[in-house]
Amino acid sequence: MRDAWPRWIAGSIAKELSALAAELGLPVLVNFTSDRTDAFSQAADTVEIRITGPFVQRLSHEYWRADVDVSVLLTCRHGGTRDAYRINRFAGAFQEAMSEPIAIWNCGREAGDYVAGSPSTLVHLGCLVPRREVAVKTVNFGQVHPTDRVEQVEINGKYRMEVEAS
Amino acid sequence: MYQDRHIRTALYMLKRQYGGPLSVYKQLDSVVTFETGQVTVTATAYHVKRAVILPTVWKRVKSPAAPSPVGSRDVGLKSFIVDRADIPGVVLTQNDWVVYDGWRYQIEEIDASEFDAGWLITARLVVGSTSDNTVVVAANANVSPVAGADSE
Repeated sequence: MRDAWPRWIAGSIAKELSALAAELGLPVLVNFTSDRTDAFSQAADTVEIRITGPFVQRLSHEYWRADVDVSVLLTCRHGGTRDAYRINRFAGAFQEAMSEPIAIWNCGREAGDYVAGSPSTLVHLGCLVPRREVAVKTVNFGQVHPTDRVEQVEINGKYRMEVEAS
Repeated sequence: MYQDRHIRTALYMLKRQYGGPLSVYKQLDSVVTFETGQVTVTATAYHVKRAVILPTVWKRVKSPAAPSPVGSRDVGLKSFIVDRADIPGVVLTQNDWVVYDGWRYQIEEIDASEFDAGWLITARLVVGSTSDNTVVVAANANVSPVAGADSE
C-alpha cells in the first residue's frame, strides 16, 4: 500500500466519469473536490459523483487488493419538451461506462505523480474492474418530493483491483 | 356581512399595494406516449392582472435519496393571494401551478379564505426547472399571449 493510491484512484475515477458527463452535456460535481456553482444549481440536469474507498487488504507480501464503490446521482428537473425517458438515457450511458474497467493513473501534482509533457513519469497502477459478483445497479427514486418536479436516479458500481507494490 | 366586506376591502388594499400580474394554470390532463417518452400536458390558463405577491424564501433542500448534501436542490417558496373574483369558478389543487415573472411555481398548499374571498397559495419553484411545453386549451378573456410568453 502506498499513500498516493487513494488520491490516484479518486482522481482517475473522477476524470473518467467527468469526461462522460461532459460528453452528455451534464454539469458535474465530484464530492469533496468541487464546489457547487450557480451554473450547477441552475442547470436542468446534473450529475454528482461519490467515491467511497479504497478498502485495502494485504493478500501477501507487497500484494494488495483494493475495493472501491462509486455512486453516481443523476438529477433531472422537469421542463421544456418533456421526455419521460431523459433520465434513463443518462443513466444508461453511465451504467454502460461503469460496466467497463477504469484505468488508474498517477494523476496529481506531488512527487511521483505524472508530470504533464513527460511520458516517462506516467505510471499505470492498474485497472479497477467491476466486481463479478455484484451488478452495476440503477436505482430509480422517481420524483423525490411531493411538489418539486425533480427526479433522481442513482447508479452504483463496485470495483476491485489487485496491485503489486513496487 | 360586515366581516365579508372587511375581508374584501383588505384584499383590495393588498392588491393595490402588493399587486402584480400572475398566470394561473389549471391542469386538465397529462399524457405520456410510452413508446417515445413524450409528455403532453394540457391546461387552462387564467391571467390575473393583480394578485398579491409576497416575498420568496430561498432554501437548499436535501435529497432523501442520498446522504447530505449530495443531490440537494435550491428551491424558492413563495406565497400569492388571488382574488376569487379574478378566477371565478376555478378550484385549485396541488396539480396546478402559477407562473410569475416567467418562473413556474408548483402549488404546494392552498388556503381558501372565508366567504370565498380569495385563494392563499403557497408554491415552490425549483431552480433549474423550466416551463413545460404545455398545450393551453383555453384561456380567460384577459389573457395576453400566454403560450408564447412562457411556453406554458
